[in-house]
Amino acid sequence: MLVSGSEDRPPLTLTQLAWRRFRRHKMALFGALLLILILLYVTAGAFIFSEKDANRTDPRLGFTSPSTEHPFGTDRTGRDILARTIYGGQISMIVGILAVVISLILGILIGAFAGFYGGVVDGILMRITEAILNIPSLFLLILASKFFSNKIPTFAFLGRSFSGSVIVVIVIIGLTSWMYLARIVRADFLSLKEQEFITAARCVGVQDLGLIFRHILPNTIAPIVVSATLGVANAILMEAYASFLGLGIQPPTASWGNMLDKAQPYLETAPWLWIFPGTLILLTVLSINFLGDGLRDALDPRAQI
Amino acid sequence: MTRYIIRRLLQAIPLLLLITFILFILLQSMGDPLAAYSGRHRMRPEDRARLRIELGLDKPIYVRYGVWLKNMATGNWGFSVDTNEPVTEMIGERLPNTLLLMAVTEVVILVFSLVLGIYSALRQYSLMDQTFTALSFIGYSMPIFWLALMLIYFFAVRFKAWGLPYLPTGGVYTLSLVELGEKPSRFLGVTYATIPDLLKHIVLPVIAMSTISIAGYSRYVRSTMLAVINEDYIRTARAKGLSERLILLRHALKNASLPLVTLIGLDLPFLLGGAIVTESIFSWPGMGRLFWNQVSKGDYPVVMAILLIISVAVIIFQLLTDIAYTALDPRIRYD
Repeated sequence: MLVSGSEDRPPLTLTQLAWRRFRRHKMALFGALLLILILLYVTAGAFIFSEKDANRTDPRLGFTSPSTEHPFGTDRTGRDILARTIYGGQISMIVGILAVVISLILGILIGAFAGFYGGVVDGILMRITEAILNIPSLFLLILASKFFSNKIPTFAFLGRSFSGSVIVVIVIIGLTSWMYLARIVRADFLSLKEQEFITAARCVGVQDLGLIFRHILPNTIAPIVVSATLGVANAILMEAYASFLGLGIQPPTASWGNMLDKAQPYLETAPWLWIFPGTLILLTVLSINFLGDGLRDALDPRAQI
Repeated sequence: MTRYIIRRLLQAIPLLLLITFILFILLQSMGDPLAAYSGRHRMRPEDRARLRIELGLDKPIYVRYGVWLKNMATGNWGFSVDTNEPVTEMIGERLPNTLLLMAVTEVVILVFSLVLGIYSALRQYSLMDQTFTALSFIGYSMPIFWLALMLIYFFAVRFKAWGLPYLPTGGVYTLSLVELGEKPSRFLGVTYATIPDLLKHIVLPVIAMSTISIAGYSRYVRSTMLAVINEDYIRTARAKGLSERLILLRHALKNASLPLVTLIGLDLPFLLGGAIVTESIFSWPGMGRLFWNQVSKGDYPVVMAILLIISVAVIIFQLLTDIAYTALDPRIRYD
């Protein structure tokens, strides 16, 4: 009773604590801001330029350098680069987020079951994880792309058309990036399942699946969130690599990666072809990395405040 | 220790089999192997069916895998579907070039990560430290081919336009030097014109491949170093009167480099992947570029052989890393 007001304020929840720690990271805040700006650019920009603008070719205007008419210049067939970066950005973002969703589902399921059940199940799942982990992901990407190439047609969704290769790329990147998350989740499960609150839950009669998803999993959210955030950055980079090699998104659907690919022969003569998409990729991945770094520190369970 | 090594090697074999089996299955889906044999004349259906049975393509997949495995183990690596050269020759020509690039890149990564990381740790929060941190984030976020293209654009193309001494855009040696009568020499399988010429050609690819790793690792070294410097045994060494330099080199360095060694050893798959892109951009005649070219052509024997080499290399490197781990930290003992 000596310190006034100390009984009145409720204790801070974990989320609030994490938010406070996060706010102290200047770089993470900067990253978050930058990311929001980029997201605004690719979504709001779609209201200014229609998709037809992005894909309209006008060979007479091919290769014009940046001007007031075309702020980012035009490419070989006269398409406006600014509009293409907007729509390409949409694709890259969508690929990044959806691919991470796939790898989250796979990674969490495999890690949780391997960690929880242990024994033979763990052995088999981990052997497979190790085997795929040992193969350089770019090789996997190349092989898997050949496997799926050209099997899915173009489709329309929410008012714009997507090449079928978008789905292929999302699935492939998702299938090749779940391994790290599975290892982390498994390690957490291995340690958490010995704790007393699990024994207590078991005594009360909670079944295996309930234990996994309602008791242990919520306690492993921190590394999952960090891994998911950094995974988006990785997925965007992977999409860029794949499209650069010609295996990712197929034209005329634009993506930052395949814009870079098309720019390769014109390195010297038309630098605006690759400077803009490349810089956008860099800024996006950079902001996500800052954000993920800040999240990692904010959600660290061992932090003091 | 020897028992540990033997045990690891034995464990590595099923892993290797699993990996190659997965890759084998993936490759089967790359298309009909007989398509490459069609050439200019369309194959008659009877010939196609006959060839399928002759070449054993109608057998179940595990039989085909077994045959492939037996052939690889006995040294019969087959002939390229594309150029009809023996696979061993094709790979043998390219392998030294890739090894050269890899070796130089790894050394550069190791040296620079340690130097930058230690410097940042010692001068924590100074201007240089903040600059390096920001730069490493940027370096870490770049796609490798963008970096490579930028490097080529500035150092090769722009420098030439500005009249500065410029670096070549690709290849291992400058053709003009060869034509002028300098015989290309071979050293351990790498063909080059002169050593300075080789250095000129290798600079940009190495920078492209090492920057991303250096960016990531230097931060790691920095945080490990920061943790080590605050340990009690460093304080004891200072109290005993050892010079800062000696403390750094003999005590701190060993402990800080431990996780780095593990990371670099496990980084090999990433480097090999990066090599594909880098070698393609810089026209470096290595295995990565060979893999990429042959995959587009559906050249199974070469592609599977390269994948086998890579899988073996990765597993061996993991083992070497673990052994190096025990050498650096005597507390770690595997039984």
